[in-house]
Amino acid sequence: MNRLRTKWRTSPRLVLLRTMPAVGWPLTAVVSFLVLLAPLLTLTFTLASGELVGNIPDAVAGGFGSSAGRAVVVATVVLGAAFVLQHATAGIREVMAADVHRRLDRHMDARLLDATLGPPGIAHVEDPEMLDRIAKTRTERQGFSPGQAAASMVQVAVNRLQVVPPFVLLGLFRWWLPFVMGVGMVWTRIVMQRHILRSVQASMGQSGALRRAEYFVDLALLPTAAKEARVFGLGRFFVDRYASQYLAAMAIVWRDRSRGQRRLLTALLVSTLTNTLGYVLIARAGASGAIGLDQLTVLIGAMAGMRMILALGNEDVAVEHGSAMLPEALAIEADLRARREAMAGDVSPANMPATNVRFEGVCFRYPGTERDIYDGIDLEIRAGESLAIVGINGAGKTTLVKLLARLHDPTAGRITVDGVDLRDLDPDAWQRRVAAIFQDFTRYELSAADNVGLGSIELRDDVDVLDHAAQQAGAKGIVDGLPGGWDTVLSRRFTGGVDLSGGEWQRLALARALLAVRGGAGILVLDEPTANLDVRAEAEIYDRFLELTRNVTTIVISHRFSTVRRADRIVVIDHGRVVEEGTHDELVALDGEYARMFRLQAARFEVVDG
Amino acid sequence: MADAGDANVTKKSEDTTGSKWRALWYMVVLAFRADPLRATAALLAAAVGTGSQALVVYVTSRIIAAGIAGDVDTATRLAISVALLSALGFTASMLRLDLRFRMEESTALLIDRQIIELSTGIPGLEHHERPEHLDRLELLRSQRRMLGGSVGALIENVGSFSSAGTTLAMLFTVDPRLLLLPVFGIPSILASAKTRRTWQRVEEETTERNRLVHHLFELGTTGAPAKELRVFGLRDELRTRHQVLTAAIHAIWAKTVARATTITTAGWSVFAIGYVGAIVFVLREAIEGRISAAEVVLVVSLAGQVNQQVGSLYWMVGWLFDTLKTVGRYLALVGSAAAAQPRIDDPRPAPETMRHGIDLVGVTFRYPGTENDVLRNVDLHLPAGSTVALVGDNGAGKSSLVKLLSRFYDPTSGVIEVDGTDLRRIPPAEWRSRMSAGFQDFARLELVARESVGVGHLPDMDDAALVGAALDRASAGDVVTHLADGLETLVGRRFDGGVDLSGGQWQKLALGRAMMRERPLLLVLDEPTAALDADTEHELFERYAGAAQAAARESGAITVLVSHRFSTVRMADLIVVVGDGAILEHGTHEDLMSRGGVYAELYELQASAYR
Repeated sequence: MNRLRTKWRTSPRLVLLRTMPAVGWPLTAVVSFLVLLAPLLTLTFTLASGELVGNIPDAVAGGFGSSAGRAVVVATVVLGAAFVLQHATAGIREVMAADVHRRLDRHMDARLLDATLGPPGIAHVEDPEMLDRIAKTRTERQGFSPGQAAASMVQVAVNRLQVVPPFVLLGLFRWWLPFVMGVGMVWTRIVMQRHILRSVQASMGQSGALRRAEYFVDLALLPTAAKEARVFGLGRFFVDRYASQYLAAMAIVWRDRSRGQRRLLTALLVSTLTNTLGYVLIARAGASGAIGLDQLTVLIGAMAGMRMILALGNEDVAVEHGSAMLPEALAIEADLRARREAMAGDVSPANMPATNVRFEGVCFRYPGTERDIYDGIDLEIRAGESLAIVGINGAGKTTLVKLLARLHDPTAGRITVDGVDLRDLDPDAWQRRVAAIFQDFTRYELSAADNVGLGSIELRDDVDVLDHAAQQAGAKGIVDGLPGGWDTVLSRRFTGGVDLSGGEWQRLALARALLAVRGGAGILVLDEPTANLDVRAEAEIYDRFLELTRNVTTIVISHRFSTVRRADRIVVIDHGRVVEEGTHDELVALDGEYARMFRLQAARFEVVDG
Repeated sequence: MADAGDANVTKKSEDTTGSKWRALWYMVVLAFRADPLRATAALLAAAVGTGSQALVVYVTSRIIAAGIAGDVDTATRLAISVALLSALGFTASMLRLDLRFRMEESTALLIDRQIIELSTGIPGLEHHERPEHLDRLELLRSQRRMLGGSVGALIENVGSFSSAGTTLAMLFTVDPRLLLLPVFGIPSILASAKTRRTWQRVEEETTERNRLVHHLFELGTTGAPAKELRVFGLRDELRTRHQVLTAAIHAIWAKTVARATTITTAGWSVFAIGYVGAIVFVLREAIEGRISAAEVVLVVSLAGQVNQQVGSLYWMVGWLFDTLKTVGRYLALVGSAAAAQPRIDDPRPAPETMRHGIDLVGVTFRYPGTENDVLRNVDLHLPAGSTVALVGDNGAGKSSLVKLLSRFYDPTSGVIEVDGTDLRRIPPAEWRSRMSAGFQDFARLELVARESVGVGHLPDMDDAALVGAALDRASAGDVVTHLADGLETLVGRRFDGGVDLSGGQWQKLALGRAMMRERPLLLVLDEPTAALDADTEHELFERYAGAAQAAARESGAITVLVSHRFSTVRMADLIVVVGDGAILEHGTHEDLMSRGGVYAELYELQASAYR
C-alpha cells in the first residue's frame, strides 16, 4: 500500500495524469471522451469492412437489390461514417491536445513562480543547487515541457487503446493467439522504446559530455567571448576542443546504439515468428472454409491492428521527457511552501524603527557553506541617522543588509527593532519598511515608469511623484531623453524599446529606492549606489547626499571615502565584527584601521614632487 | 529604415526556390561527404522500408482472394510473405531511424566545426555587435540542430515519396480513375496547413508578450532580483502581471481552437465523400464482374491510407523546406564570412620591436549601420615603450579607440600606423599574435583554471609554471591557491564539479589571461579591474608598472589603460582625455594638472574626498 502511495507521488506519468485536470474539467472531459471513442470507431470500421467484403460474392450474384447487396450498401455507409469520424476526431483531438499543452504549461509556470515568490527569505534563490533544480523544471529550457507530455499522452492513450479491439477479435478466433503475439510484440516494443529514447536523448544533447562540446559552439557564436577569441586567436582551439569532446560523447552513443540494434533484431525475430503463426492460421482457416469471408477480412484487419503495439513516435518521447521533471516541480513547490511557513510573524511594523535597530550577538553563515560571515556582531542603527558601513577584506557588508531586511534569519543571536525581535514582525510588512538599491540592482525590461514606480507600486501612476524621484536621483534627464518618456520600454528586445547604459540604469534604480521612501519606507539602504557612474555623476549624487537622507534612517555601503565620510556615523567591520565606530573625524583621530585605509588612498592623490 | 529594407531583401533571398535547391544540393553533398556508406544505406532503407509496408496491403488482399478461391497452399504462402514483408518493412524503418540519427550527428559535427571556424575567423566584431547581425547569428545558434536535421528530413522524404508512390501505383493497377481519390484529400490537407499557419501567426503575434512573460518569470525565480522584489513588496505585483499576461496570450490562442476544429472536420468530410465514392465505385465494378472481391478489399485499405500518405508527404516537404531555410541562413554566414576577410594587396609583417610607436592620423570612426561618428578626426601619438591612460566620461569614445587599436574595426577614414606601417596592411591574425588585452566585459571561460588563463597564449597553455607566472604578473595568484585542485580546478558552475567564482576572481583570471603573452607590442587594458576595489587595482598597477615596464622598454611595447580611477591613471606616462569623440587634452599628470583643464577638474573631484 505504501509502495503504491509512493509510486502515486513519484511516477512521472501518474503525476502527469493527476495534474492534467488543472487544464479545466470541460476540456479534460472532452479529450477523455474522444480518447475512449477512438477504439470503438476502429472496431466499427473493422467489423463493417468484414461485413462489406463478406457479402460481396453474394452481392455479385444477386446485384444491389438482393439482401446481400443491401447489406453491402449498409456496410459501406457505416464504413464511411466510421472513417470520417475516426479522422475528424483525430484532427479535433490534435487541436484540443495543443490546447491542453498550452494550458498545462501555463498552469505549471504560474505554480512554480508562485512557489518561488512565496518565501519572504531568499535563501532558496541564492542556493545554487535549488536554482539548478528550478531551472531544470522550467518549461522554456527543456526540449519537452509537461504540457507537451500531457498533449502527447492523449495520442499515446489512443495508441494503447487501439490495441484492445484487435486483441479481443483475435481472442475470439483462438483464445491464446493474441497472448502469444502480444508477448513477442510487447518485448519488441520495450527493446525498441529503450533504443529510440536513448537515440533521441543523445541527439538532444542532454548528456554532460555533449554539453561540454556545445559550450565551444556557444563561445564562438555568442558575443561574450568574441573579443578574446580574436585577440588570442582561439578559433582553432574552439574547433579542436569541440570536435574531440563531441566525438568522445558520440562514441558512447554510437556503441550503445549498435548494441541496441542487435537486441532489437533478436526481439524482432521472435515477433516475426508469432506474427507468421497468426497469419498462417487465419489464412488457412479462411481458405479451407473454417471461417467465413467476413471473418477472414476482420481477422486480417485485426492482425494489422495488433501492430499498434509497436506504434512509437515523438509522442512517446515527449511523454517520457516532458513528465520527467513534474514530480521534481511538485517537490520544489512543497519545499518552498514549508520555507514560507517557517518565516512567519504577526507584529505590525508600522512606523518602525522609532528608536533603533539592534544586532545582538548575531552570527550568520549562508546555508550549505562552512564559513561564518558574522560571528557575534553587535551593532546599533539609530532611527533617523545615516550610518556608513566600511568593511575590511570586503567581508559581508551586503549580508548585513540582507539580515536587516529579513531576507535571511541569523544563525544565532537576534535582531531587534524598537526592542521587538525581527522574527516576530510580519515579514512582508517589515520588508516594505526597507527601501534599497542593491549593488546588483535589477534591470526591469519594462517601462521607465515601472522601473521607478515599482519602488512603491501605489505611486506608480503618479507622474509628478515619479518626476520628483527621478529628479532627486539625477535621472530626470534620462527619462526626458527617452523617445516615449516614462512609457518607453527599457530593452531593445521590445518594440520601441531602448537600451540604457550601466550608469543610467543605476540612476533609475536609485530613483526607485527613493520612491519607496516616498511611499513610506523608513530605512534607506544604499549599497554601492554609484559603482557604475563616472566621476562627475558620482560627485553630483553625493553633493545631494544630505538632501536624500533627510528624515530617513540611512545605511550606506561604499568603498569610496567620498561617500562614507558624509555619514553621521561610520562602523568598520572586520572578520565579522565591528572593530571601530564613530564619525569620520573621530575615526581618523583614533588612528586605527579606518585611518590607515583613508591615508593609504589619500596618499595616491597627493602631489608627488619630481 | 535602410536596415529594415536590408533585412527584407535577405529574408526574400532565403525564401527563393533557387536558394532552396542550392541548399538542398549542399546538404546532399555534405551528407555524402560526412559518411558516404551510411548516407546511401539510409536512403535505401527509407525507400525499402516504407515501400514494403505499403506492399503488405496488397499481399493481404491476395490472401482474401485465396480465401475466396479456397486455395489453402497459396493462402499459407501469402500469409508467410505478409509476415516477412512486414518484418522487412519494420526492420528497414528501424534501420532508417538509426541511420538518420547517425547521419544527423555526423553532419552536425561537420557543420558545427565550420560554424566555429567561420564565426571566429571573421577578424572584426561587427557581426557580434550589430543588432541585426546578432539576431541572425542567434537564430543560427538556436536552430543549428535543424541543419543536421535537414539530412534527416531528406531521408524521411524519400520514405514518404516511396510509400505514397507505391500506394498510388497499386490504385492505378485496379483502375486509373481511382487516382482521383487524392484530389478529395486536398481540403483536409489545406485545413491542417491553415491551422498550422494560424498557430504560427499567433505564435509570432505573441512573441513579445511571451518574451515579457519569460522575463517576469526569470525575475521571480532568480537570485539577484529576489531582494528587490521583497523589499519593495512586489511579489503579488509580479504574480498578477504574470497571470494577466499569460491569460491575455491564452485568450488569443483560445480563439483559434473553435475555428481549427471546424475546418478540420469540414476537410475530412470532403475526403470521406471521396472515400465512400471510391468504395461504391469499386463495388459497382465488382458486382458487374469487372474486378474481384479481393480488389475491393485492396481499395478499401488503400483508400483509407491515401490521405494520410499524401498529407504526410505534404508535411515532409514542408519540414524539408523549413530546414533548408536554416541551411540558407548558414550559407549566408559562409558568404558573409568570406566577404569579411580583408584583402591585403601588399601585406607587411608586424614589427619585431616597436621603435617609434603607434600613430592615429585623422582617424574618424562610426559603427557600421549607425549615423553618428563616435570618433572625429583624431590625431594621437602613442610613443613606443609608454603606458598610456585613456580617461573620459562614459560614452566618450574610449572603448571605440581601444577597438580600433585591436582592429575589431577599421577607421571610417584616416589611418592607424604602427611604426609607420598602415595597420590595415598587417594581416589581422599576425597583429593579434603580437598584442594582448583585458576587457571590462571579459569572457568567463568555464574550463579548468589553467586553460581559462592559458588561452591568453595557446602555446604555453599546458605549462602550469608559465600560467602561474602570468597570474603572478596579474597579482592573481591568490585566486588559484584557494581552489581545491589549484590550476586544474574547473571554474564556473556550468558543468558538474565546477567551482563558482566571484566577479572579482573572474576578473583576476581574465587579467592573468591578458598577461600570458610576455612581450606583446600592445597591451590593451579596458577597465579590466572595475570589479576590484581601488586598493587592489592600485597595488596591481604599481606592481605591473615595476615588473613589466623594464621589459616593455626593450620591445617598445605600449600599454593602453582605460580607468576611472585617477589614483591609477596618474601613474601613466601619457594621459589622454577623451570627450565627445575627440581628444580634449593629453600630457603627463603634471602637465594636465598645471593646465587646469578637464583632467584637473575630474582629478580634483576624486581627490577632494581625501582632503
